[in-house]
Amino acid sequence: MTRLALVLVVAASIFAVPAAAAGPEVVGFVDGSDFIELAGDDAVSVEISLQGALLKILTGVDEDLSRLAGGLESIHAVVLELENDRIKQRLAQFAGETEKRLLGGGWDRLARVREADADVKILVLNDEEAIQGLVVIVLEHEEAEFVFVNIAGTLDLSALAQLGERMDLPGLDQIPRDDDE
Amino acid sequence: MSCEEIRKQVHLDLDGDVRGAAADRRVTEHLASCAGCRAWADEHAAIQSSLRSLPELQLPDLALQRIWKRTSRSDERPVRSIYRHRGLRAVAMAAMVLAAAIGIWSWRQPGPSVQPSEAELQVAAQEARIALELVAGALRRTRRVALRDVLVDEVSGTLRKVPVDWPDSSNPENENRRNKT
Repeated sequence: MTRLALVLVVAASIFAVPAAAAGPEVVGFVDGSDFIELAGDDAVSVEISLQGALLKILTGVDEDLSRLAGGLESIHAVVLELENDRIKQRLAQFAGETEKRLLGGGWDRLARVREADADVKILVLNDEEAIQGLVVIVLEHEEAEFVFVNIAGTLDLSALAQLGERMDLPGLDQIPRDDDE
Repeated sequence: MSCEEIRKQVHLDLDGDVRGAAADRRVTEHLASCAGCRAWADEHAAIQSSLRSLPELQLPDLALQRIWKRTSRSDERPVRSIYRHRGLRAVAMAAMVLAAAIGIWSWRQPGPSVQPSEAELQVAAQEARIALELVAGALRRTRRVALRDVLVDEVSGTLRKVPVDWPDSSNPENENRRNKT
């Protein structure tokens, strides 16, 4: 009787745990919600969260995205307005810790730029054939803004850079572009 | 002493109990004067004597083992299960079966099947573009800094996949720029 109960408990755990853990646990996914927690909800100016199913549908309706998002599992982006230096400092510190954690987890640093007006970190998760994940962290000093973007899934950097050149959507003018500098 | 008390004493006497001289004398005196108790005592003495004359039987090994199991169980399992009570055991079993059922149901549940509306798709497409634009902006900034700082031969191999008009490193002008830095 006791053994039967034990077997049932183990079986229930095996089935129940994956169900509970279902979510954006895909290769290349990095949770950026901690940045929001650090800065507070009031600091969020943009928050984007797109999952695989919706992204796959998008590929059928948008030509540009179809080239990019076909292999993507999720897109998460957060833009935070930094109210004071304390939050800015905290986010910069956590960004550094996140970078270390990712580097320790097999990610590669694609680029790290430190300029007077901004710090940029770009990290990628490569497999043998393609990029499987990308994290961009930008700390804009002058505009007091923090940007975190995570893209999980197969990604074509070349196509992505080209897309940025050709986009002209309403609302995008609110997002800082280095062309404006 | 009453007859009842005397008979208790006789019982103890037959079982081998030792009593004091005063009590022994009172029992002897009572039996000498009470025919009923004397007959009762003789009868019990005869029964005990006949029982003692029976041959001694050897207990089979199997019986010994069973007795040993019963008597040693408390030592092997000092902590008794909280599920001893039938009610608790039933609740525990029901909970386990429910957990297993929920786990299996969640595991077999297909993904969201609701088709997003056209408007939702447009919003999602715009969000995806904004997120991708943030990444493209960071890439462009990185590219610009790489060019400015003449890291043409030093940038990451992955960054080279970004379509950029990389200066020809064999060009003397670029060589001069690199030397300046």
